[in-house]
Formats: sequence, C-alpha cells, structure tokens
Amino acid sequence: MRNRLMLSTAALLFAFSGVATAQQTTAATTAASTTMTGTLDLGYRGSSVTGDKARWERYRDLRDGLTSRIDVGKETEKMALRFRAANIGYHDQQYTADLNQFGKLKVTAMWNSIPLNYAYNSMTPWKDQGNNVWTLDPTTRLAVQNKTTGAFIGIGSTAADFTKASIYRNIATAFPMKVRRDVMSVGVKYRFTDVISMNVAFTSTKKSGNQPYGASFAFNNGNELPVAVDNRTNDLTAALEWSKASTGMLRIAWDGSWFNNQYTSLTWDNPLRATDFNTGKVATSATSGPWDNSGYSNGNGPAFGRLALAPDNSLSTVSAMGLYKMPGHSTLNGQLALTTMKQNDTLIPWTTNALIATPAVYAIFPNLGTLRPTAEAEVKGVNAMVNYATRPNKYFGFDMRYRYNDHKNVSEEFDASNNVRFDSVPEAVPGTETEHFNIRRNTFETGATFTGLRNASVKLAYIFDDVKREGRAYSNMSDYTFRGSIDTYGNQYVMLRGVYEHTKRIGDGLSLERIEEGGGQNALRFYDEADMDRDKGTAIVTFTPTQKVALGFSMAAGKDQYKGEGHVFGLLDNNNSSYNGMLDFYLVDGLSFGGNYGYEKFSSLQKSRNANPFSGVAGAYESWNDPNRDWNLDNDETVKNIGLYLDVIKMNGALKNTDIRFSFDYSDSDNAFIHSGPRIQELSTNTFLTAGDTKPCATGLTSCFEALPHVTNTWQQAKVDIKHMFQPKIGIGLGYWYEKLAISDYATLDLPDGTPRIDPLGAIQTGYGNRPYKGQTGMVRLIVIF
Amino acid sequence: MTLGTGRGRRFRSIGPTGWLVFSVLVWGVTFVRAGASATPSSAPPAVEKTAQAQKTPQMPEAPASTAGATYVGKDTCVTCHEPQKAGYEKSLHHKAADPRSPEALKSCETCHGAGSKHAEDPEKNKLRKFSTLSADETTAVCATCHTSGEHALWAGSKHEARGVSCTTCHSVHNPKGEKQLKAETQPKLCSSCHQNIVNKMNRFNHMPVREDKMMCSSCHNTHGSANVKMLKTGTTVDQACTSCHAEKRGPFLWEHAPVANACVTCHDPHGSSNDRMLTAKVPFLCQRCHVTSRHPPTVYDGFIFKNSSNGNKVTGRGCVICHSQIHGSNSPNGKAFLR
Repeated sequence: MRNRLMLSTAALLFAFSGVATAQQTTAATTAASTTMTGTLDLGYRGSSVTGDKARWERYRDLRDGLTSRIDVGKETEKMALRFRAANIGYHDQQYTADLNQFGKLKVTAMWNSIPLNYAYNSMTPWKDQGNNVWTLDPTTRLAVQNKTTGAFIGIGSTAADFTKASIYRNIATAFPMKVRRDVMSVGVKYRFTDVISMNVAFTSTKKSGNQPYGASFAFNNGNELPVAVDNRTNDLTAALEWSKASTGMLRIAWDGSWFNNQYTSLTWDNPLRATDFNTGKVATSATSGPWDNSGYSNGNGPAFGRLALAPDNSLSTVSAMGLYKMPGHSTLNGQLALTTMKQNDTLIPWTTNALIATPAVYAIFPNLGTLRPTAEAEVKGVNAMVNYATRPNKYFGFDMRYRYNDHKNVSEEFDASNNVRFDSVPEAVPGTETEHFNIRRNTFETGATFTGLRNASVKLAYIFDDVKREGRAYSNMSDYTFRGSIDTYGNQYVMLRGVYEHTKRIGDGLSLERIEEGGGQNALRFYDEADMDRDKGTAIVTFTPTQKVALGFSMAAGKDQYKGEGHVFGLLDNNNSSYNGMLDFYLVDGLSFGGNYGYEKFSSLQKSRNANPFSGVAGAYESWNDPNRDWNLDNDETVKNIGLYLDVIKMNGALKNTDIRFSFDYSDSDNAFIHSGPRIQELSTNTFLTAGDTKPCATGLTSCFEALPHVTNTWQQAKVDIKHMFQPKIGIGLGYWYEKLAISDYATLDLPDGTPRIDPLGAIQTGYGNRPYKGQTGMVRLIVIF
Repeated sequence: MTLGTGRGRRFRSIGPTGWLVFSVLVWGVTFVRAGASATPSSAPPAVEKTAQAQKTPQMPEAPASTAGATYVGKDTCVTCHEPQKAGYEKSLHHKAADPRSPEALKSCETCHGAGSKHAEDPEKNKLRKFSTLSADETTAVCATCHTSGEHALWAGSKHEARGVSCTTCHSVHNPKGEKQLKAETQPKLCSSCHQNIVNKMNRFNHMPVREDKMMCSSCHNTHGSANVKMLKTGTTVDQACTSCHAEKRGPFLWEHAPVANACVTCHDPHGSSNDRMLTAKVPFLCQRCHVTSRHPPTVYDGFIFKNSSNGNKVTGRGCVICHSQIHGSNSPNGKAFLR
C-alpha cells in the first residue's frame, strides 16, 4: 500500500510538473496558443472474491487499495505532449508518454506490466535451491525408495491408490504461482526533410516468476514443478524511410532481437528414487549394466534429472519495403527481408545419472562419451512479398501478389545414435540425427474485382500456395484456392459483405517410411499437411433503417474434410459455424444501448488405433493390423455469447452532468468428448472382437471404459460505472464489477475440503487447474478535469 | 508414393507457371490500357498554381460538378458545416505546423475539393462526400498522404481487396476512439465485421485483450503487411508469435515439425475453451497426429483416469507433463522432447 501511495504521488507530481511547465510556457508565449488538458481519476477499490482468486485476476492486479488513472496533455500549435498512467503501483501498472512535434518528431515511451496469475493456492513438495534446482526432502525420498512402510505411497498408480494420499501431499507447501511480463519501450521517429525520416525503437521485455512445467522420469512418474522464470528479450529497430506522396516510399530497416534466459536448465529430484537405481551389475552390453532396461516405464531411474530450458537466441533481420505509385491508378509494393536466427547455448550433459555417465558405459554407447559443447544452431531466411494492384477505371480492378518464404536450417547435424531415456536407460538407435525442417513456400495470388455494379464490387481470386518441407511425411504440399466475394458500399441503409472460399490441398512425395520411422501407422496422415478439401465462408448484413437503429447479422462457417488416398487415421474432419446478431439503438443524443447474441458450434472427428508394435512373428495376433482396435473421438463444442450495453454520455436534461455506462458479457461453452468404434465396444464390455486378441480389462471387471464428462464453463461479467460532475471540473465516480466463472473440468482434481489435489495417479503436480470463482468489486473515485 | 490424381490433377495442370504467365499478360494489357487512357495519378490538380498549391500532394480528380472551382477557405466552409469543424480541429489534420497536414494546405478543401462552385450552389454542385464514394475513391484521397510507414502495403491487402476503405474504420470529423477510430475500442470496432473472433476474447483462456493489456493491433496491421493474416511482425505466423514468445523461437537442437510450420496448428491465438489456448483439449489434440503403438493411441477415458498411472496423461498438463519441451528441445536427449 505504501509503495502504491508513493508511486501514485510521484506520478501526480510528474503530471503536475507538466502543468507547471505548461503554465510557464503559456506565460512566456501567448495564452491562446497553449492548451492543457488532463484528467486525474483517483479512488479506492475494494473486492470480495470467492473461489479461484488467481483466475479472477488472471492478467490484472485487483488488490484493495488506491486506484489511479492519470491523463495529462499539453498542446501548442507546434507540439503535443501527453502522459498517461494507470494502476500505479500495481502489478498491472502502465505508463505512456508521447511527444509529437507536428511533422518533425515523434517520441513515444511506454512501460506496461502484465501479470499472468496461475494459482494462489498451488502446492509443491519440491524446494527451490536457486538456479532452478529443485530438491525433495531426502528422508521422505529414501522412505519411498525403500518402501519402509506400506502406509503411504510415493506416487499412486492403481485404483486403490486413487483414494490415498501421497506422502508428498503431506510435505507440500503452498505458494502463489504467477509470472509477470514487464515491457519497456522507447521509439523515436524523426523527419529530416519532407520526404526522409528515421525510425528507431527499442523494447525490452522482462518475464519473471514461476510457471507450471512438466518434468518427468517415467510413464508412471510424471511431475509438474513451479519452474522459475527469469528471461529478457531486447528488440532494436532502426529504419530509414523515403516517402513522397505522389511517388511512393522506400524503407530500409534492420531489426535485432536478443533473448536471454537466466535459467538454461531445470534440475529436480526424483520422487521415487533417492539414489540412482543400480542393479549392481557392471556394464557389459547394451542390455546389461547397472541400469534397469525398463527404468523408463517402471520408475527405476535416477536420483535426479535435468532438462534444457529455452536457450539464449538471437534474430537479425535486414529488410527493404517499397511502394511505387504507377500511372493508371496502379500500385506496386513489396518487401524483401533477410533473416538470421542463431542459438549457440552450451549443451547440458547426456545424463545426470552417475551410473551411466561412466567410461564402461561409454565403451558400449560411444556416442554418450562425446558431446559437442554448444548447439551450433542457425536458420537463415529469405522472405519476399511483391504486390501489384491496379484500378484502371471504375469498372475493373486487378491484383497480383507473390510471396516467397525460405526457412533454411543450416545447423550442424547432431549425432544422437545413442541416448539416455529419462536419465534412466542408455539406448542405441543407429543413424539417429537431429532433423532440421527446411521450409520453402511460394504463394501466388491473383484476383479480379468488378466494380461496375451499383454500389457493389465482386471479386474473384485464385491462390496457389506451394510448400516444400523436409522432415515431413509429404515433401510437398499445394493448396489451390478459389475465392469469390461481394461487398457493397455507399448505401446508407444496408451493407452486405460475403465471401466464399474453396481450397483443395494436395500433397506430393508422400513417404510412408517417414511415418513408420516415427512409429506411426502408415495410414496416418498429419492434419497440417494431409490432402484436404476446405470450404469456408462468411456473410455480414447490416441494416441501418434510420440514424437511430442498426441491425446486423453475421455468419461464418468452415468445413475441413481430410479424404486423401490412404488416409485412415488422424483428424478426419473439422467443422465450425458461427451465427451472430446485433442490435444497436441511438435514440437521442448521448443515449445508446444494444447488444449481440452469438451461437457457435465446433466439431471434429479423429480416428486412432489402440495397438502394440508389429511383432512380425508368423501366425501371431497383431493388434497393429486389427481394425477392431480402432476408435474414434467426436469433439463437439457449443458456445453461446451475449453482450449488452447501455451508455448515457452527456445526455441533455437531468443527466447532462452524469455519465452512466453499463455492460454485460457472457460466454457459455459446453465441450463434449464422445468416444466410439470397435475398441470402445471391447473396452466397454471387456471382450475382444478379433480372434487371438485378449480381453482388455483386468480380471474381475466387466468393463474398463468410462465416458468422459462434458467440460463446461460459463463466464459472465457485469460492469456499472457512474460518473457525476457536480462542478464543471470536479466529479465523483462509482463503479461496480461482478464477474463469475462456473467451470467443470474432469482434469482438475480437488480434495474434499476444496484444496487442489497434487497427487493424481501417476503424477505429483502443483494443483494448478481450472476452478470457479465469483468476484465483486466496488470503486469510488474523485475525478478532476483541467 | 505420390498422390495427386483426379480433380486436383486438373487444377495442377494449370499450375503456378500457367497462372503466372496468364496474370502477367492480364497485368500487361491492363497496364498498357490504363497508361494510355487514364490520367496519371501524378498529374497536378486543377487548382491555381500558387506556391502552396505546388506542394499539395496529388489528389484524385474532383467531382465533375465542381470542375474549374477555386478554393474558398475554411471560414466559408464552416458557415454551413459547423458540426464538422469541432472534430476536425481536434484531429492531427488540423495541425498546420505539419506541412503535410490538410490544414497547412487547403484545409477542408484539401480532401473535399475546391469549394467555390459548391458555395455558390450547394445542392447542384456537390463536393467530394466520402460516405457515398466507393472504397477505392475514398482510399485514393487518403493515400495521397498516408502512404508511408504502416500504410505502405495497403494496396492489395486483404482489407483493401474486400472493399474496406479508410472511412470504414476511421472518422475525421466524429471519431469515438484514438487514431480517429469510429469506436471507442479496437475490439468494438473490429467486431462490426469480426464478431465471431471478438467473441473468443471472452473465452475461458484468452489473450489479455479484454483486460486492455493488448489490442487487435498488437498483432495485426489492418493496413496491410508482408505477413499472412495481416500479422504485423515478421513474414510468417511463427515469426509473429515469437516476437513476444521469444523463448520458443529457437532454433533448437531438436525441432517439433508442426512448431516449425505454424503455431496455429495447435493454438488459437484469439481464445479457446482449452488450457493454453489450444485448439483441442490434451491429450486428444496430440492424438490427432500420434497414431503409433503403445501409449500415444491409448483410449484416455474416465476409467484410466481413476485406475491407472496413465491417468497422468489426462489430468493437468496431459502429454506435456512428460513431453514438456514440445516447442523444441536443446538437450542432447531431446528427440522425444522429454529433456
């Protein structure tokens, strides 16, 4: 509170110093040539919140206390200066200052803090030892490792465990999990002459705090830690621009961006092991040594693990952008950008497991004994866009656009023919190297616009988009798109906009081997490259029968169907539709009200096969090939939206000194997950449909399938803000916000007392999840205008 | 194996080269005809050749009804158009210190055309009225000045191609928001055409737009850009996203293929009902691609959730509780994004 008070006072002093300066300036020049404008809006805010307070605040800081909003400006005939501040002293504070010397110089400065509040009641048994090293209580770990009593579990893994508490639940401590992004930027635009200007901008973004992060040791040992975040990104732009209104412009720019991460790795203790698992054997072959060959699945792993966090990196771009106004109402514009992305962080060791990082193991897995010191990763990019548009007469227009993107990864390939899975098991996968995804994209678009119709234009366009990629199933993917649109203008009563687009995506160079190398079914197609038909369209109609009423309706629909040859598994279709209606009234000056209603539907269908690897044993049952192992998932979501508002602003009569604003927003989502197919039948009835298969459920069960419940959430927010000026320059403000989130998500677990459960089966988590809240906030403010 | 038969083959038989040749031909014909018939846009306006007029940016042709008219000055205009005066005087257009501003040139008549004939007979001799102009005609007036910086790529942009003009979103005389916008806030303005997108700001997981920490223009340049979807930064979707999320920029030792392609393969940046603005809930989103053997294609249902350690793929972070480096890994052991 004291901090916020001091910051508020400092900001006020700064603001008033501007006033004082302005007054001096005014005195020195002429009273008429300088104007001061400003608003001081200071008050007090108090809130009452139940439920997930962090989710309620999410990107805000709504603590009780002083509130502030300051907007001060000074303007002369030659320049304008403006300073604004909001939420001074809070985690979401924001300051901006602008200087505009008309036609000559623009300076902008900004500070913006954006919190991201995950949870205030999260819990973890790990302790931060600094530098992102997280440890567990050694006694507890040893007890879990030695299974000294049967009264507790380390991590639950069975139905019986589901109702038990992990020993780590009892030693976990609560902490607030949140990060904050602080963005500082300064920009200067200076005009040397009528046609030449310079633009320099610098932005520095710091992100700090804790965020939930996965860090695991095995299939049955998944963990979520509150990893520490402390990084900074500095961006610098320098540009020189020549611009002549009658001719065009040319801009030469350099953009540099540097990301620096304070923490380049995360080290954390294993909740199931206090010491590295040791069979006591000496390493003699790839399958015999001190490790457990199933350690990645049964938890017989290392005492602690280490993973690499985001590396320091840089991006440099040199670009030229131009516009040339040609005769005949024609324009040529475009950009060429050459980029270089680099990353050369020190690589962490292959493993933290001291029993594997030994000369004896390196003799068997020689690749583990060598490690190049740094990543040596680099991507070069060439990106170009050129656009020609002509409007030679009032009947016809023509556009042509070409875009080229080349993403070339020139990193030195990395030999990973040996690796250590989960720091538990050394493995040999001969020939394994890092895969670099080079991408080259050519997009060509051409369109003709017919504007001969009365107050309407019709456009037909064709787009050809060709993507060549390495490392994917298809080496080449082409989209052929036809688009038609109609747009009206100049009619004060009705406006119509509509567009329909059909795309056919066809892939070339399908490599089934590549899909199989990744362990996939060869009838799998990845939806971001698979052959596809896409239809989508939007329509908007707005009626304005009088100046006092506006009525609108819009709809949008899209349908993706994946039906390429041999496409059996993966996403099969993806559809969406949206209908929105809106009504606005402006009955008298200063009074407006209205609202909108939206109904949206999203649905997708995906298909998979629950199978084991192909054994290749003659005559053996192969679930890999068994269509009775197939299952589908229909994911259907329905969303309803409502928005209402009432604005009474400077209305004549009794309310001429009173502004009233009311708004209500509502969003309701119902998300269904519907499994189907023969495998679901097998699981539901504990039977097998293909001879040779086995019953899917454990002995004694008649079913081992349980449909997932819908995930639903309803968010609503009502705001009332009343401002009354009892003097021409002094007034009071009253505000009230109501916000509520009702949510039901099966993936978030709570204990009976409502605290987050951190120990579901197979994991120790932080308890971060999706929980409801209800908050009410009241504000009273003093408003001074000058 | 190569696909690409049937209907698609016919499309492809035209091919990009064919379309390119065709378009160049159309372009050439259009260009030659336009150049021969139309008045070059660089032609000077039909105004008196004062020193000031010679500095005037090139204007489109004035309405025929005012041909031969001369400038009468702002004072004459506001005798009838007083309501428009207030908005104009608050705008940057009115800052005469900027030699490129309308006020430094011919004030109202800079944009609306010379007004002497209109002043003589307002009903008969209409000036340039933007609400009745086509989008191209409106933009042609504004683009006589606004061609630099962020406006440079307007011609041929998505909005321009759909008949959106400057006055669709901006008002010189009666703005309600900053930058002369016709609505108080960007989402409110953009919702007039993109309501289904703006609705997503109210989703359970969203960018901080409704909290006033971001705006539509934080990511988009509505005046046209070198990127797709009018994204402001970079030339590809991932470059736009990593301009803020630089920790995901890499390049990494191990890359996840869809990440290198586009973030929107998995995320909906406008808002979603799923954690981390994913397009579908985990693990089902991952299962759309990972149809392999063993644990990836397991049926993750309510039973597993309560009966197996595989429940850790259903709760909380889903698959990324283990595959936490899903955006790319810099560990030697990063092939499966576990380290």
